[in-house]
Amino acid sequence: MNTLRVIWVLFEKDFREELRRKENVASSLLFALLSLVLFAFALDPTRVNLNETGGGLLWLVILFAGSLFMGGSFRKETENGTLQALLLSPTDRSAIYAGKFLLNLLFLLVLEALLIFFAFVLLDFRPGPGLPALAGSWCAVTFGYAAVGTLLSALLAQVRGGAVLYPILLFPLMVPLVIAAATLTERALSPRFSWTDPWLRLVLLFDILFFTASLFLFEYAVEE
Amino acid sequence: MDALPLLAAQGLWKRFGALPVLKGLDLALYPGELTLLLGPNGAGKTTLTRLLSTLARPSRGTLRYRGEPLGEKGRLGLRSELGYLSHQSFLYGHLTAEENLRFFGRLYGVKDLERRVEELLRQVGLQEARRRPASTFSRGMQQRLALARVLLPDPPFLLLDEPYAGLDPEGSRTLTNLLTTLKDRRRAILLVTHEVEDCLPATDRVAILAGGRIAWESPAAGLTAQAVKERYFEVTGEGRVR
Repeated sequence: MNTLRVIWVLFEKDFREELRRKENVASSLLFALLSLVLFAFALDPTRVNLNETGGGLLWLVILFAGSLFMGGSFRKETENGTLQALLLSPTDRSAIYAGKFLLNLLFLLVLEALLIFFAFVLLDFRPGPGLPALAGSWCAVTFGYAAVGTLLSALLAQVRGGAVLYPILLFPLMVPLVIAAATLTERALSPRFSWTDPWLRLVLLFDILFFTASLFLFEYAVEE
Repeated sequence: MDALPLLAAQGLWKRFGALPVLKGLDLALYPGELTLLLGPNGAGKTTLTRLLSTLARPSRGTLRYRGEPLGEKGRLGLRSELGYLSHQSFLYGHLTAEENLRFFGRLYGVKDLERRVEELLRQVGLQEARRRPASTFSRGMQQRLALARVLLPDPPFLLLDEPYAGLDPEGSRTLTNLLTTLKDRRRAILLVTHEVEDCLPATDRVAILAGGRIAWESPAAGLTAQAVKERYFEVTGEGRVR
């Protein structure tokens, strides 16, 4: 069975399961929405221009809400020992990682789309003509975030207290990406944006490095 | 019995930190033979099944699969020919019985999957419950569905850790008959259980694991359940087999 087919089978199973389980999706989306509502109360839109300062703010929400979803992606596989069942299947183990990564990536992208919409409604966040640049740079940052988040979820799935450790280990690793995301958001919404921006190149390098490393490291992360 | 074992462990050691659980264990599993493995709690039965299933690596010693030392390629080959029933169900609670089987069937590349799923659900008596989520099943039903999952790719090698757990007397009889059928079809089976009386009719060889080694081993022919229990008590000093 080829690797791409295994990735699709795993992705499909996880997608179906998340729709029925609901708790991961609901907690993450609700957290993101509530954070935005609180920001709307806390920030005075007449004094704060979200197009200039909002990138960092929105990315903190994505970071926290995303970690709620991704942290559970391998932890739920330990409930009935299904992680062992996956590891026992005659498949390339990196395909298991890739299947989970794909679902996490999809979820984060949906979360971001919703976040932009609600930030527009609640916080007067107006990407305007900068939307393609914003979408492109956020996709690049999200790819790296999902790559690291998925690997860390696998690494901590069988560790006692893994749920607590997950954000503690994940957030420091995300510092370069958050700085890049905030800077790129600000530039995407101004005429200064360029597709060859050094920050964007840095993010792409981060993506390639961490995704490739994660594919190789996954087997060691889940082995006893 | 075949001259070449399907899987053989030679001088197998497994340590957790400084604590050795297995201490130079030797065991050979042959096609068409059911080996019953007994042992007290903490003797290392589950550790042994994890080593034999490639879920863990030995600290020392050799595993041979079809006569070849188990390398990376061999591990993948072994996984494709292995059915492992653990004390955990390995089932997705939010998926229905048939969705669980379909998922694992696709993962293993099972041919004619729908027919196979149908056949196994009938065999384990879960046809009526096929569209119910596995989380709504009783322990016994989950065990039967787990057994169907294990048998789905029709593996030549079966590792069954406490398969009788949660089964009612009717389910236990069905399982023993199923094991006999599988043996007749040349499957190599390692059965870890305390239910000696239930499984002895299908057993070819009995082994007792104690002190990190196979402390006693004998062909099952001519052995009664009572004789096995007495020998178990002599070897382990415990009487916890039924």
